[in-house]
Amino acid sequence: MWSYVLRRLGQALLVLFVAFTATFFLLHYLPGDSVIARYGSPQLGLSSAEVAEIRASIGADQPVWTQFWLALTGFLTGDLGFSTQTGASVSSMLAAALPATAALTLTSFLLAVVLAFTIAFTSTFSPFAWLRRVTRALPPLFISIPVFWLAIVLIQVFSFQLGLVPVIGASDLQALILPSLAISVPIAAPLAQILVSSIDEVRSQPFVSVVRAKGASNNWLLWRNVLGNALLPALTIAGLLFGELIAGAVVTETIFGRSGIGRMTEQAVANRDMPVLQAIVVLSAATFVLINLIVDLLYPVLDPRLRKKVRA
Amino acid sequence: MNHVETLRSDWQRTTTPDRLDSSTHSTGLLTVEDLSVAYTSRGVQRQAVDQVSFTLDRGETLAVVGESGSGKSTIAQSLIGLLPAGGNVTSGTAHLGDPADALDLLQLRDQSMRPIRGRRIGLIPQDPSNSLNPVRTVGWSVAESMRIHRRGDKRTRLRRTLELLERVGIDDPQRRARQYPHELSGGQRQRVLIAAAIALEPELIIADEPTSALDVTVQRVILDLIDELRTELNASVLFITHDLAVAAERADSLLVLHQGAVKERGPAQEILTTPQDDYTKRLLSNAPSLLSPPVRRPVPETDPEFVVVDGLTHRYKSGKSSFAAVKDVSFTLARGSTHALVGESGSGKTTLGRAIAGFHAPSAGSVTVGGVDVASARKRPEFRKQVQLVYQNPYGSLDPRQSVGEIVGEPLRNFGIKDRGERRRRALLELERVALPEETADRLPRELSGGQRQRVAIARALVLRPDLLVLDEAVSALDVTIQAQILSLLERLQQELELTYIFISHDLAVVRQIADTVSVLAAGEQVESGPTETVFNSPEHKYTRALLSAIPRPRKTPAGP
Repeated sequence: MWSYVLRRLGQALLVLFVAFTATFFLLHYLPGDSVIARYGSPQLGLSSAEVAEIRASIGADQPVWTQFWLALTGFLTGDLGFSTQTGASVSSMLAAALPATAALTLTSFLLAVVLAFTIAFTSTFSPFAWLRRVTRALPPLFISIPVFWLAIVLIQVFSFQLGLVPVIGASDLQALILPSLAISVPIAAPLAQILVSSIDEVRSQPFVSVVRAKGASNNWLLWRNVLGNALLPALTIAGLLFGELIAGAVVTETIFGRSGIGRMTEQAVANRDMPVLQAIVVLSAATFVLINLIVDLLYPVLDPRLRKKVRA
Repeated sequence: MNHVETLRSDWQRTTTPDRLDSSTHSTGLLTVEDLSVAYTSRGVQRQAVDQVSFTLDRGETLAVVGESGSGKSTIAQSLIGLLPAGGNVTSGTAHLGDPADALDLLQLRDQSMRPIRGRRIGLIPQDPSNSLNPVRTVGWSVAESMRIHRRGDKRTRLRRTLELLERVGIDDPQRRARQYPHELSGGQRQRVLIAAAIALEPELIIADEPTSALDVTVQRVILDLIDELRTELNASVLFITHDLAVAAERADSLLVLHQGAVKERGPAQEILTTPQDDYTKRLLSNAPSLLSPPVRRPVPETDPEFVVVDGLTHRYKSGKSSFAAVKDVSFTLARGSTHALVGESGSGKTTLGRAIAGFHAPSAGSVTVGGVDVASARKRPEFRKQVQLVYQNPYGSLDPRQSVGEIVGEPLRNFGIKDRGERRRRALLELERVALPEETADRLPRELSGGQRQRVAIARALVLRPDLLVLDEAVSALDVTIQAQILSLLERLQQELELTYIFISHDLAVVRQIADTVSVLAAGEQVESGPTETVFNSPEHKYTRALLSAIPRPRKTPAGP
């Protein structure tokens, strides 16, 4: 068991290193850089010698491998560098933005899970055939709704027309409602789709008719027999969907004017703020890797058939 | 008998009293009259069961015998109200219990049926491998019906579960109860399923092909167990099977079903000895029998050492450990003859067959086919022309999206015959050889019956003109009438094309019919080998004797006129 966890952690570190390296070189070789973006504007009236001086002061004139080495050792020792745009330290910027985004993504994820399960249960176990048909059509519909469009529609309807959620002066909780709803819908869709098909699949297995022949009710069947078997594929998808959450945060934070990692990403991209981008990519990769590690460790908990393999 | 007594005394207090009273009065438990069931799919109605009537007495076993599609499982499903989607009872009654207060099972809604399922009717399902919830412990599944019907508290349920597991012959119930289905063998799983089915002492046990997925020696033990429990619980057994021999051995009376209709009904002995209906007669004559050995034509003597297996050993390695699936097997096979590899699941017969067909190199020993060493020739395409394999499940081994003509012609493409017309011409030739009509070439595998699919698989194997066919359980999944047809097809082909067969099977009766020589395998070892008649008539190894004695035979006829 522990050797399995250690092996997986080793793989995770490798993934992080690759993500770091790929980001670094991609950003480095893209045309234009953060110094030009910040100081290159003719309105600032800086001469090219002065710009080169600024470049030298932040080490941007050094050979690429030296820069890579400095950035890597910096990351390893916890020094994420300074934003070219604002001059603030990247770690303090992340620390300020992280809690809001964490709250947003977590709420969205929980909402997505609730939504997905509601759709899945209704479309498989509801006694009404018409309701089963209607809910079965929801996942394909949901997955084709773009987040930015949904976000705008939600603001339009709930804030401006119905006035249910204030746009200005909202409490922290109120401010969470619409953005997390916007993110959760497209995340719930694939999750619900997978759940529906795996519940269908489990229900067609012979052991289900054996349980029914014992006199089980539909509820008994769903909660005590079908669900435990149907969760595994959904869990895999849930881990992979985490990437969607981050993408969703970029869009919704911008549209709803929330501060957070998503907003920070949007601005850093606009300004070619490389130290910030580098840190955000590594942070997202780390979270993604961690979540999927947890998912992998959950498999044997849910399915006894996988326990032996893990132990071996 | 000790645990039997505890089982009764402990549990009787909580059983419904009417059940005990009624058992003393009358003998009829289940009376089915004019049961008809139809399936509707895409607006088309198909009659699956047509006006079936029968009576099952208390303590009696009634076997419903029929081939696939005869509607035998549909009868069981309609009795417990668990017909698959699209299935509907269109007429009839099924009264359970004494005439005075009998319930018509077919009139009950799901809500009122639930207290009957598990409590008054227990189901022993067909395939133990996936009839238990894989993520629950075995003990949990056994106790499930007690929990559904709110019997006892946690402690008494646990005690009862352990009692039941012990009763059905599970060793170390304490430990087993905490294990998961995948940790148990097929036979153990079927025991667990039986324990679950009898947990609430049902008066009617429906056994739906309870042993068709099990080895013969295990089958025998399971059938004995069902018999014992029937006596102990004074329950009636509705026994559904495709296997006439099993039915004949175990049932008091038989119901022969063909295409949903009853062909014959009556005491088992009578039907077996003096069948009245033509279908029953055909069923009886097609069932391969151990009592009447067939006449084999003499083995041609062109090449007495066509296949030589010498000291063949095959090890599977996983990590540091290795496991010998086949240990030191040797036999010689003449061209144009059939050698059978017989054994139960896990005996290594498939591994041996694949080694002979050159799918893996042996760990030790050698195989030569026509004087060529398989280990060195197996990667050469010419070798594939010489040796072909036919599998058990023809549906799984045929590409569902190719037409039959393409499937049969495909091997030719691998040997450089690019011309479509030529491939098709040769495919049609082979289809004709296996007695399939020409238009079959344009059909898809799913449009064919099981027997037709197996013919296609044989045609595909023959298209390269091989000398040796390895037939891995090639007739095991087929109904007896179809099985008999395929077996005679194989014999005809053997004569026409001078084919040599390696015939892998668990079914001794079939083996006796088709094989000239036989090797009996147990746990990878060749415990006995020789001419079929010698091995069957005077088996030397105790495992062979156990296998032979486990084969179901009709009960001894009571002394009579």
